[in-house]
Amino acid sequence: MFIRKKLLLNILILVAFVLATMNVSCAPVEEEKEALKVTMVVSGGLGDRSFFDSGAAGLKKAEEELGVETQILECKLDPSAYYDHTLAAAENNDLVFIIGFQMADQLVEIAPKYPDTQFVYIDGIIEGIENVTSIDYLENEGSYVVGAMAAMATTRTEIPGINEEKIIGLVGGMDIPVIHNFVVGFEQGARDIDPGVKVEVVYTGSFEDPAKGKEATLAIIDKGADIVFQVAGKTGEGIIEACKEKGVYVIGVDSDQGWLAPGTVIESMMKEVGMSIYETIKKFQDGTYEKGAVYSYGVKEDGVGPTFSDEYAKILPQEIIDKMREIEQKIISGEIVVEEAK
Amino acid sequence: MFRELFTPQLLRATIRMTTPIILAALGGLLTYKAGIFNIAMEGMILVGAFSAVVGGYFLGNCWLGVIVAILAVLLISAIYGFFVVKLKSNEFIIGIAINIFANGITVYLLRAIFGVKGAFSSPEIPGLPDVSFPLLDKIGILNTILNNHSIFIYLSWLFVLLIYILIYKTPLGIRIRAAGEHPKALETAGVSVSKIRYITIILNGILCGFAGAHLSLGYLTLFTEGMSDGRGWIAVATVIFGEGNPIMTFAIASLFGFTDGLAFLLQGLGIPDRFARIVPHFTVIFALFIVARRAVLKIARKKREVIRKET
Repeated sequence: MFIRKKLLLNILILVAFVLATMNVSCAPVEEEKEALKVTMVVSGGLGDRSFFDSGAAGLKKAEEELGVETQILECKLDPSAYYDHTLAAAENNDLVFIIGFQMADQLVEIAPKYPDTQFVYIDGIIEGIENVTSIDYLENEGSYVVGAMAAMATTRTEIPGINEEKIIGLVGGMDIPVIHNFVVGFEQGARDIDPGVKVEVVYTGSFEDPAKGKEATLAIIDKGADIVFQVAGKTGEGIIEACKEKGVYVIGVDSDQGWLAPGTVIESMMKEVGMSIYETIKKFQDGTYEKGAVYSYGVKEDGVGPTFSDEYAKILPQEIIDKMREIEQKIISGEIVVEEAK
Repeated sequence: MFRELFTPQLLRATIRMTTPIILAALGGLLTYKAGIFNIAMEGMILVGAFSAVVGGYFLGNCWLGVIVAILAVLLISAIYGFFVVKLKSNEFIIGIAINIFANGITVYLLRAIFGVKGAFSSPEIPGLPDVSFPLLDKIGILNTILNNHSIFIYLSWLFVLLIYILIYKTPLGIRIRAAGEHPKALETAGVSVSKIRYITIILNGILCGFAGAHLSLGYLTLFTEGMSDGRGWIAVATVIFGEGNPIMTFAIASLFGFTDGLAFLLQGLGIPDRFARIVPHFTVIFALFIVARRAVLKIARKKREVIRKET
């Protein structure tokens, strides 16, 4: 009796497995000869309301307006998926976006084997491979502008929630080059406005742990920070919550995060991943796409920088906003050179 | 430097960071004592955190959220118990399965119920209340460290005591320990080992439900995918180091919380993040070393005694 039960269970499991795999293999069957096939492989997962979501929005826009066929593969920060998903995307697409610095090695290995597929590496630079184009963001420039903003605002005690101490903060997800680039820009921006402003930098060690983000943020708020720049993906949810709870301000990252906590988010440092993806697809269709090129998106290209949305003008005094615009112009003209950490 | 590091705020942070771990660990140590090595706490915390947000959001009351969390985790525990106790499957494999399942189901339901990916936050999620003790606020430093925490922080201390009493001072506790140490003896005494193990799995489910609800309604008031982020595994580690003793487990969990908080402050002193992050792990390895050494010495002493008796 027991053996038969076990057998039954085994068969059930087998059937479940077959059904599950069938489902997966059936999904991408639709084929159209005409449309350009674009796939985006993201190292993390969608739903970060920040970096990857911005990319997905750009891809969606391209699908709607440029009539391309799109697909998104998520690796969920699982290194074993980086190779498989990149390979899967390389096999039957015209254009593949690889989003996330973590996948560089896999891309370098796979790209030369698929010369007919064009790859776009986002958030970093890979040079010397014919079919790999890079899109690099000058986060340091955008961070410089918000750093200057924070340094100006932290002395304005008439803004509710701003204390007397000249301390601002930055909570980063991990101690890695991309995040350093935010940090150096932010620190330099603050220093150039007022060398007396102290920037407290702390890393949580994870992009996925909002509780730790909250804890790290509370630690620097205790030290007197009243404006915190969050550069930490999903960990950032906890950073925003800590700032809201303590009545201080937070600077959002990558996407406009004002809606997450109206009145607490003082500005967002945009990284227009979606815009650059959209533009690249457009270039590809127009024939102006350069194979193997490196496209840099800085303040000049409108690829990074504050939103200047009306929502934030309710908190920020007009002169600070004017000054931010002035700084942007100076970065574009080359009068201000922002340090790099990559 | 010392003053900058060892602030009352650090102890306050320690308390906050310890709570989700100890709540889950208390559940884990009950099953550990009953002879089930349970590694499914990570998944159970996650399910608890998610269902607490769902319950709280739709029913409009944080306590109903907690109840929904407990029910959801009990459902998962029922599956776990069925396989581990009834079918006698390998508890590691079932534990891993539960963890993977929990991750998948919460991502799926987050999409299905709220239509979002990644994270869900809303002002309509009712947070668990903070508790303030009227007498404590007279004493400056104790007020900073101990007062105005979320309610489950105080409850977790109570649970540590209650579970200590349960294990060491009640008949049920003796049976739980017997189920782990010598199941045959328990069976001979006419008590069903399975029943005792089911009881510990149910208690573990309730405690993991608390841990999850505390994480998503008390500590934070939001849900993000995979937000338990290894706390269930750390709970497993504390159970092993604490050898199933609630007080010891609490001490080890606090050590984890303390060193985690310390890591943030060390960064502030200009110590590189990577190095600061070693501190918790290093401390734990050191603690493990001491525990292991003590155990080895104990065995050696016993051997010597036996030899002495024989001669």
